[in-house]
Amino acid sequence: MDLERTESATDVSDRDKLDMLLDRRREAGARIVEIETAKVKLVIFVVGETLLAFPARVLVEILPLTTIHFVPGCPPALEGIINVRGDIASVVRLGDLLGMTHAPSARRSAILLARGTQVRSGLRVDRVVDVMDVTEASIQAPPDSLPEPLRGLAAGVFEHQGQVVILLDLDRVFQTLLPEQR
Amino acid sequence: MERRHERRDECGDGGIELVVFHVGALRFAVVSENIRGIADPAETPDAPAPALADLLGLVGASAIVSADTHGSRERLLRFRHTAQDGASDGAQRPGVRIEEPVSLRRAPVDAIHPLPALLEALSELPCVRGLVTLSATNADDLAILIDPRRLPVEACTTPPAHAARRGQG
Repeated sequence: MDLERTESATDVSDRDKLDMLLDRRREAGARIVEIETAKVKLVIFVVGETLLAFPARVLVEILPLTTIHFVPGCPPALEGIINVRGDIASVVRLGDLLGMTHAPSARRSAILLARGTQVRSGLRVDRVVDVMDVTEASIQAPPDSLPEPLRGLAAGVFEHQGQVVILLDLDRVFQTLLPEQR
Repeated sequence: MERRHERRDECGDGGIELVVFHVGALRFAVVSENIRGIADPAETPDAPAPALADLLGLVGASAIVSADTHGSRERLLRFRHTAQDGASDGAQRPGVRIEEPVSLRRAPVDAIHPLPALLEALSELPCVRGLVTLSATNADDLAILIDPRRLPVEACTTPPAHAARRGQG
Protein backbone atom coordinates (compact mmCIF):
# COMPACT_ATOMS: atom_id res chain seq x y z
CA MET A 1 0.00 0.00 0.00
CA ASP A 2 2.79 2.31 0.89
CA LEU A 3 4.48 1.50 -2.36
CA GLU A 4 1.34 2.24 -4.30
CA ARG A 5 0.97 5.54 -2.48
CA THR A 6 4.59 6.34 -3.19
CA GLU A 7 4.17 5.60 -6.93
CA SER A 8 1.03 7.62 -7.04
CA ALA A 9 2.74 10.53 -5.32
CA THR A 10 5.61 10.26 -7.75
CA ASP A 11 3.24 10.34 -10.75
CA VAL A 12 1.57 13.44 -9.41
CA SER A 13 4.91 15.00 -8.74
CA ASP A 14 6.17 14.16 -12.28
CA ARG A 15 3.04 15.53 -13.87
CA ASP A 16 3.41 18.72 -11.95
CA LYS A 17 6.97 19.07 -13.08
CA LEU A 18 5.99 18.28 -16.65
CA ASP A 19 3.10 20.68 -16.47
CA MET A 20 5.41 23.36 -15.19
CA LEU A 21 7.86 22.69 -17.99
CA LEU A 22 5.12 22.73 -20.58
CA ASP A 23 3.69 25.93 -19.13
CA ARG A 24 7.12 27.54 -19.28
CA ARG A 25 7.55 26.43 -22.87
CA ARG A 26 4.10 27.70 -23.80
CA GLU A 27 4.86 31.08 -22.22
CA ALA A 28 8.19 31.25 -23.98
CA GLY A 29 6.52 30.37 -27.26
CA ALA A 30 3.90 33.02 -26.70
CA ARG A 31 6.60 35.60 -26.02
CA ILE A 32 8.43 34.65 -29.21
CA VAL A 33 5.24 34.97 -31.25
CA GLU A 34 4.62 38.40 -29.76
CA ILE A 35 8.10 39.61 -30.63
CA GLU A 36 8.03 38.16 -34.12
CA THR A 37 4.69 39.72 -35.06
CA ALA A 38 6.10 42.47 -37.26
CA LYS A 39 4.08 45.62 -37.62
CA VAL A 40 4.11 48.25 -40.28
CA LYS A 41 2.95 51.82 -39.86
CA LEU A 42 0.44 52.79 -42.54
CA VAL A 43 -1.20 56.05 -43.55
CA ILE A 44 -4.81 55.38 -44.52
CA PHE A 45 -6.58 57.85 -46.79
CA VAL A 46 -9.50 58.19 -49.15
CA VAL A 47 -9.65 58.93 -52.87
CA GLY A 48 -13.22 59.19 -54.11
CA GLU A 49 -14.93 56.55 -51.99
CA THR A 50 -12.05 54.07 -51.78
CA LEU A 51 -9.90 53.51 -48.73
CA LEU A 52 -6.22 53.32 -49.64
CA ALA A 53 -2.94 53.24 -47.74
CA PHE A 54 0.77 53.80 -48.13
CA PRO A 55 3.48 52.64 -45.74
CA ALA A 56 4.39 55.65 -43.60
CA ARG A 57 8.07 55.06 -44.38
CA VAL A 58 7.57 56.27 -47.98
CA LEU A 59 5.81 59.45 -46.88
CA VAL A 60 7.93 62.44 -45.95
CA GLU A 61 5.08 64.63 -44.82
CA ILE A 62 1.30 65.02 -44.86
CA LEU A 63 0.42 68.54 -45.97
CA PRO A 64 -2.90 70.33 -45.94
CA LEU A 65 -4.16 71.19 -49.42
CA THR A 66 -2.38 74.35 -50.47
CA THR A 67 -2.16 76.38 -53.66
CA ILE A 68 -1.10 74.10 -56.50
CA HIS A 69 0.53 76.07 -59.29
CA PHE A 70 -0.25 74.86 -62.78
CA VAL A 71 2.78 74.41 -65.04
CA PRO A 72 2.11 74.17 -68.80
CA GLY A 73 3.25 71.12 -70.72
CA CYS A 74 2.43 68.52 -68.06
CA PRO A 75 0.19 65.48 -68.48
CA PRO A 76 -3.26 65.81 -66.85
CA ALA A 77 -2.35 63.60 -63.90
CA LEU A 78 0.41 66.05 -62.94
CA GLU A 79 -1.58 68.83 -61.36
CA GLY A 80 1.28 71.25 -60.84
CA ILE A 81 3.77 72.25 -58.18
CA ILE A 82 3.71 73.43 -54.59
CA ASN A 83 6.21 75.38 -52.56
CA VAL A 84 7.02 73.50 -49.35
CA ARG A 85 9.04 75.88 -47.22
CA GLY A 86 11.24 76.81 -50.16
CA ASP A 87 11.36 73.37 -51.77
CA ILE A 88 9.42 72.91 -54.98
CA ALA A 89 7.54 69.63 -55.31
CA SER A 90 5.31 68.28 -58.04
CA VAL A 91 1.75 67.23 -57.21
CA VAL A 92 0.13 64.20 -58.80
CA ARG A 93 -3.62 63.59 -58.84
CA LEU A 94 -3.49 60.09 -57.37
CA GLY A 95 -7.07 59.37 -58.42
CA ASP A 96 -6.18 59.93 -62.07
CA LEU A 97 -3.53 57.21 -61.86
CA LEU A 98 -5.90 54.79 -60.14
CA GLY A 99 -8.85 55.37 -62.46
CA MET A 100 -10.81 57.07 -59.67
CA THR A 101 -12.61 60.38 -59.51
CA HIS A 102 -11.45 62.78 -56.84
CA ALA A 103 -14.00 64.39 -54.57
CA PRO A 104 -14.20 68.17 -54.93
CA SER A 105 -11.45 70.00 -53.04
CA ALA A 106 -12.39 70.43 -49.42
CA ARG A 107 -10.86 71.46 -46.14
CA ARG A 108 -9.94 67.83 -45.47
CA SER A 109 -8.11 67.37 -48.77
CA ALA A 110 -4.42 66.71 -48.33
CA ILE A 111 -1.16 66.27 -50.16
CA LEU A 112 1.01 63.29 -49.22
CA LEU A 113 4.62 64.20 -49.88
CA ALA A 114 6.06 60.84 -50.94
CA ARG A 115 9.56 59.62 -51.68
CA GLY A 116 9.92 56.59 -53.92
CA THR A 117 13.11 54.87 -54.97
CA GLN A 118 13.63 57.31 -57.83
CA VAL A 119 10.96 59.96 -57.56
CA ARG A 120 9.76 62.38 -54.92
CA SER A 121 6.39 64.03 -55.41
CA GLY A 122 3.24 65.16 -53.71
CA LEU A 123 0.15 62.99 -54.12
CA ARG A 124 -3.22 64.61 -53.87
CA VAL A 125 -5.77 62.70 -51.77
CA ASP A 126 -9.28 63.59 -50.66
CA ARG A 127 -8.92 62.86 -46.95
CA VAL A 128 -6.44 61.30 -44.53
CA VAL A 129 -8.27 58.83 -42.29
CA ASP A 130 -5.70 57.39 -39.91
CA VAL A 131 -2.06 56.67 -39.22
CA MET A 132 -1.79 53.28 -37.54
CA ASP A 133 0.32 50.18 -36.92
CA VAL A 134 -0.90 47.07 -38.71
CA THR A 135 0.53 43.58 -38.27
CA GLU A 136 2.10 42.36 -41.47
CA ALA A 137 0.22 39.10 -41.04
CA SER A 138 -3.08 40.93 -41.39
CA ILE A 139 -2.14 42.22 -44.84
CA GLN A 140 -3.30 39.81 -47.50
CA ALA A 141 -2.41 39.54 -51.16
CA PRO A 142 -4.55 41.76 -53.40
CA PRO A 143 -7.54 39.79 -54.72
CA ASP A 144 -7.94 39.14 -58.42
CA SER A 145 -11.29 40.89 -58.24
CA LEU A 146 -9.60 44.29 -57.92
CA PRO A 147 -10.09 46.27 -61.12
CA GLU A 148 -7.19 47.50 -63.19
CA PRO A 149 -5.21 49.66 -62.88
CA LEU A 150 -5.69 49.29 -59.13
CA ARG A 151 -4.76 45.61 -59.10
CA GLY A 152 -1.36 46.26 -60.65
CA LEU A 153 -0.58 48.99 -58.11
CA ALA A 154 -1.80 47.19 -54.98
CA ALA A 155 0.69 45.57 -52.61
CA GLY A 156 -2.05 44.04 -50.47
CA VAL A 157 -5.35 44.53 -48.70
CA PHE A 158 -6.31 44.66 -45.04
CA GLU A 159 -9.32 45.46 -42.92
CA HIS A 160 -9.77 48.67 -40.99
CA GLN A 161 -12.91 49.20 -38.91
CA GLY A 162 -14.82 46.70 -40.99
CA GLN A 163 -13.78 48.19 -44.31
CA VAL A 164 -11.30 46.92 -46.86
CA VAL A 165 -8.22 49.11 -47.36
CA ILE A 166 -6.00 48.73 -50.40
CA LEU A 167 -2.30 49.07 -49.67
CA LEU A 168 -0.49 50.71 -52.61
CA ASP A 169 3.07 50.27 -53.84
CA LEU A 170 4.47 53.79 -54.28
CA ASP A 171 7.12 52.91 -56.84
CA ARG A 172 4.55 51.14 -59.00
CA VAL A 173 2.30 54.20 -58.74
CA PHE A 174 5.10 56.47 -59.94
CA GLN A 175 6.01 54.02 -62.69
CA THR A 176 2.57 54.46 -64.24
CA LEU A 177 3.66 58.03 -64.94
CA LEU A 178 7.05 56.96 -66.24
CA PRO A 179 6.19 54.13 -68.63
CA GLU A 180 9.62 54.04 -70.20
CA GLN A 181 11.10 52.91 -66.88
CA ARG A 182 8.83 49.89 -66.56
CA MET B 1 28.68 92.02 -73.82
CA GLU B 2 29.69 88.82 -72.11
CA ARG B 3 32.47 90.58 -70.24
CA ARG B 4 30.01 93.14 -68.86
CA HIS B 5 27.74 90.42 -67.51
CA GLU B 6 30.64 88.58 -65.91
CA ARG B 7 31.61 91.75 -64.04
CA ARG B 8 28.04 92.24 -62.86
CA ASP B 9 27.85 88.69 -61.49
CA GLU B 10 31.13 89.05 -59.67
CA CYS B 11 29.86 92.14 -57.90
CA GLY B 12 26.40 90.74 -57.25
CA ASP B 13 24.89 87.88 -55.33
CA GLY B 14 25.25 85.25 -58.05
CA GLY B 15 21.63 85.79 -58.95
CA ILE B 16 20.07 86.67 -62.25
CA GLU B 17 17.98 89.47 -63.74
CA LEU B 18 14.58 88.41 -64.98
CA VAL B 19 11.79 90.00 -66.96
CA VAL B 20 8.55 88.90 -65.31
CA PHE B 21 5.19 89.07 -67.06
CA HIS B 22 1.76 87.48 -67.17
CA VAL B 23 -0.12 85.19 -69.52
CA GLY B 24 -3.63 84.83 -68.23
CA ALA B 25 -3.44 84.06 -64.53
CA LEU B 26 0.02 82.53 -64.88
CA ARG B 27 3.23 84.42 -64.29
CA PHE B 28 6.34 83.77 -66.34
CA ALA B 29 9.95 84.93 -66.20
CA VAL B 30 12.64 85.15 -68.87
CA VAL B 31 16.31 85.90 -68.25
CA SER B 32 16.69 89.57 -69.19
CA GLU B 33 19.79 88.85 -71.28
CA ASN B 34 17.51 87.05 -73.74
CA ILE B 35 15.22 90.06 -74.20
CA ARG B 36 15.94 92.47 -77.04
CA GLY B 37 13.03 94.78 -76.35
CA ILE B 38 9.45 95.17 -75.24
CA ALA B 39 7.09 96.92 -77.62
CA ASP B 40 3.46 97.71 -78.20
CA PRO B 41 2.26 95.08 -80.72
CA ALA B 42 -0.13 97.61 -82.27
CA GLU B 43 2.74 99.93 -83.16
CA THR B 44 5.13 97.40 -84.67
CA PRO B 45 5.29 96.89 -88.42
CA ASP B 46 6.59 93.34 -88.01
CA ALA B 47 4.60 90.30 -88.99
CA PRO B 48 2.01 89.34 -86.37
CA ALA B 49 3.67 87.65 -83.47
CA PRO B 50 2.16 84.55 -81.89
CA ALA B 51 0.73 84.75 -78.40
CA LEU B 52 2.84 82.91 -75.83
CA ALA B 53 -0.42 81.43 -74.57
CA ASP B 54 -0.93 79.73 -77.95
CA LEU B 55 2.64 78.46 -78.09
CA LEU B 56 2.25 76.91 -74.64
CA GLY B 57 -1.21 75.51 -75.35
CA LEU B 58 -2.95 77.57 -72.68
CA VAL B 59 -6.54 77.26 -73.82
CA GLY B 60 -8.69 80.32 -73.27
CA ALA B 61 -5.93 82.21 -71.50
CA SER B 62 -6.88 85.50 -73.14
CA ALA B 63 -10.48 85.10 -72.03
CA ILE B 64 -9.35 84.64 -68.45
CA VAL B 65 -7.07 87.66 -68.59
CA SER B 66 -9.79 90.21 -68.15
CA ALA B 67 -11.27 88.39 -65.16
CA ASP B 68 -8.02 87.71 -63.37
CA THR B 69 -5.89 90.69 -64.22
CA HIS B 70 -8.53 93.32 -64.86
CA GLY B 71 -7.90 93.58 -68.59
CA SER B 72 -4.12 93.48 -69.01
CA ARG B 73 -2.62 95.09 -72.06
CA GLU B 74 -0.66 93.00 -74.53
CA ARG B 75 3.03 93.64 -75.09
CA LEU B 76 5.40 92.28 -77.67
CA LEU B 77 8.40 90.55 -76.14
CA ARG B 78 11.31 90.48 -78.58
CA PHE B 79 14.07 88.00 -77.99
CA ARG B 80 17.76 88.53 -78.53
CA HIS B 81 18.61 84.97 -79.40
CA THR B 82 19.94 83.94 -82.76
CA ALA B 83 20.49 80.65 -84.51
CA GLN B 84 24.08 80.59 -83.17
CA ASP B 85 22.69 80.60 -79.65
CA GLY B 86 21.04 77.31 -80.30
CA ALA B 87 17.62 78.45 -81.51
CA SER B 88 16.36 76.92 -84.70
CA ASP B 89 14.11 79.79 -85.63
CA GLY B 90 15.25 82.66 -83.44
CA ALA B 91 16.34 84.92 -86.27
CA GLN B 92 12.96 84.71 -87.92
CA ARG B 93 10.55 85.02 -85.01
CA PRO B 94 9.44 88.61 -84.34
CA GLY B 95 8.71 87.84 -80.72
CA VAL B 96 5.75 86.68 -78.69
CA ARG B 97 2.75 88.48 -77.30
CA ILE B 98 2.56 88.51 -73.53
CA GLU B 99 0.55 90.54 -71.04
CA GLU B 100 1.26 93.31 -68.59
CA PRO B 101 2.24 93.97 -65.92
CA VAL B 102 5.86 93.49 -66.99
CA SER B 103 8.60 93.99 -64.43
CA LEU B 104 12.35 93.59 -64.12
CA ARG B 105 13.49 91.66 -61.06
CA ARG B 106 16.77 90.37 -59.72
CA ALA B 107 16.38 86.88 -58.31
CA PRO B 108 19.02 85.53 -55.91
CA VAL B 109 20.42 82.13 -56.79
CA ASP B 110 18.48 80.33 -54.07
CA ALA B 111 15.22 81.67 -55.51
CA ILE B 112 15.81 79.71 -58.71
CA HIS B 113 14.48 76.15 -58.66
CA PRO B 114 14.89 73.42 -61.28
CA LEU B 115 11.74 71.56 -62.21
CA PRO B 116 10.88 68.66 -59.91
CA ALA B 117 12.18 65.40 -61.42
CA LEU B 118 8.75 64.06 -62.29
CA LEU B 119 7.79 67.26 -64.04
CA GLU B 120 11.06 67.46 -65.93
CA ALA B 121 10.66 63.88 -67.13
CA LEU B 122 7.08 64.37 -68.29
CA SER B 123 6.93 67.94 -69.58
CA GLU B 124 6.12 68.27 -73.25
CA LEU B 125 7.51 71.81 -73.31
CA PRO B 126 11.33 71.99 -73.24
CA CYS B 127 11.05 75.78 -72.93
CA VAL B 128 9.76 75.38 -69.36
CA ARG B 129 13.06 75.27 -67.48
CA GLY B 130 12.26 75.89 -63.85
CA LEU B 131 10.59 78.11 -61.30
CA VAL B 132 11.52 81.24 -59.46
CA THR B 133 10.21 82.36 -56.10
CA LEU B 134 9.66 86.09 -56.28
CA SER B 135 9.02 86.72 -52.61
CA ALA B 136 10.86 85.51 -49.53
CA THR B 137 7.70 85.76 -47.45
CA ASN B 138 4.95 84.60 -49.81
CA ALA B 139 5.46 80.96 -50.84
CA ASP B 140 2.85 81.29 -53.56
CA ASP B 141 4.59 84.18 -55.30
CA LEU B 142 6.08 82.05 -58.08
CA ALA B 143 6.87 82.47 -61.76
CA ILE B 144 7.61 79.85 -64.40
CA LEU B 145 11.05 80.24 -65.97
CA ILE B 146 10.89 80.13 -69.75
CA ASP B 147 13.80 79.72 -72.15
CA PRO B 148 12.81 81.59 -75.33
CA ARG B 149 15.37 79.63 -77.36
CA ARG B 150 13.34 76.48 -76.73
CA LEU B 151 9.87 77.85 -77.43
CA PRO B 152 7.74 75.79 -79.83
CA VAL B 153 7.78 77.11 -83.38
CA GLU B 154 4.05 76.72 -83.82
CA ALA B 155 1.03 77.01 -81.59
CA CYS B 156 0.37 73.96 -79.50
CA THR B 157 -2.59 72.20 -81.13
CA THR B 158 -3.24 69.69 -78.38
CA PRO B 159 -3.37 71.67 -75.18
CA PRO B 160 -3.26 69.81 -71.91
CA ALA B 161 -6.75 68.93 -70.75
CA HIS B 162 -6.14 70.21 -67.27
CA ALA B 163 -5.19 73.67 -68.55
CA ALA B 164 -8.81 74.32 -69.33
CA ARG B 165 -9.96 72.47 -66.20
CA ARG B 166 -7.91 74.64 -63.89
CA GLY B 167 -8.38 77.84 -65.84
CA GLN B 168 -4.62 78.34 -66.00
CA GLY B 169 -4.59 79.12 -62.31
